[in-house]
Amino acid sequence: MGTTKDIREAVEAELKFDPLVDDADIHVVNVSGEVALNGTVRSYPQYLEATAAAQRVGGVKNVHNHLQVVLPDADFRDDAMLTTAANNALAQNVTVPDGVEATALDGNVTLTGTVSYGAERGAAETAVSGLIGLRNVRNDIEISYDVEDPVGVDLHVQEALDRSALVPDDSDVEVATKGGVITLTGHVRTWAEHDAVTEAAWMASGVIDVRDELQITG
Amino acid sequence: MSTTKDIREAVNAELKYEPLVDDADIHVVNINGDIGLNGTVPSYPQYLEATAAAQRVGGVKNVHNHLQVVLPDADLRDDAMLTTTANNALTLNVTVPDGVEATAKDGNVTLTGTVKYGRQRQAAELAVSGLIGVRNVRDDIDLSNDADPADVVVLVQNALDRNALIADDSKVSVDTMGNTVTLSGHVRTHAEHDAVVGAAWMAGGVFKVRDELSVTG
Repeated sequence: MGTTKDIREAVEAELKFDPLVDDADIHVVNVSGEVALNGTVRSYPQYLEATAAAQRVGGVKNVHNHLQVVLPDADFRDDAMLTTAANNALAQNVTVPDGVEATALDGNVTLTGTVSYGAERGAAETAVSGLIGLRNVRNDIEISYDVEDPVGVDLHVQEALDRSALVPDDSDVEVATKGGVITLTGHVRTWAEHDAVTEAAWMASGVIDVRDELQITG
Repeated sequence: MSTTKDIREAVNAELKYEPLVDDADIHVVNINGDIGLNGTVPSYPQYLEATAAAQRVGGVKNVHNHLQVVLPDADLRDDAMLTTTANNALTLNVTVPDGVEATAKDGNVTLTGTVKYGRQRQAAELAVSGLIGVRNVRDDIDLSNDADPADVVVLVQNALDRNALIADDSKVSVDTMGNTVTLSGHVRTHAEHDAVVGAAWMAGGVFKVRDELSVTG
């Protein structure tokens, strides 16, 4: 909020306050609300949480996360072991559809397969991202949906935005769909509002990609 | 938003729209923004997501989730198997500290152990809640932390001041007694509510958060 005078200081304080992030080797740069995170963290969940922590802070327009995940020696897992652990996690998860597969290479896990919804792709990512030994997740899962004609997608997304408690009545966010790709434009006040809009778009049937051109006013 | 005329209709529409929820056997009741969800869903993540979907809708003040998780036959797992799977998931998770354990009984998973932060407790819940065969998760993990709870009010208040979702003129007040934080006052949305409660749980030395916030909707 406007009570935040110095954005860099506020982001640093938020990273220090968040118990899921070790901020010892994180360096924050702020240029007019564009925040960059440089340095290292010890796990992929810390990498994700660092972005989330910075996005919570008032006045932050964009977060450029350049953090590198440097695993402690005890957390190293060889490719075969991590591949097995990741595939088990996918198979045991009730939200992840059959047919999603994981392959690990030097701690980088790549997800492949085909699902019906963006939310299922997100569930697959969540299912593996906390595994010990994981440095990064690359999500190559494809979305395929047998919709005759994705007409009505604009309307369905617009209705979801109208229902949302976080999106104001006078919102200038616009939804345009072409060939299953939704483009979102306009202004949102916070990252929470941004996420509410993009998630609403991903929920629609027949959406294979969401192009996010929203601007955060901060 | 106030564009939402009929809250029950809007919650029904949101549940139908959410691909992670099968709304076929969910019945929505609305009394002045107090929403009751009745019926059944086929998994615990669907149970959680139904609450989240209803909370997203403008005008919703409280969600009373009475849904029962009725697992399809193919998703039933015996106690020994689910206990093993859940403990493996905890052990393999980098955010969950050592010493957290799971025990399954009839699909109900109970978590025990001791961690330092409320957020680590949540991480343990997340690690097991998506497993096939889980009907419910009961979190009995204890918190223990040497941090001085006297600093908690300032730390949490500062976090609220930094937060983009919390209005400058916010009337939320933060009080502590021992290791318990009490939050009271008004917030506009469930997202703002979750931001306040989330901030309170992050502080070291907080073992319990008493949530007396009211969502104006």
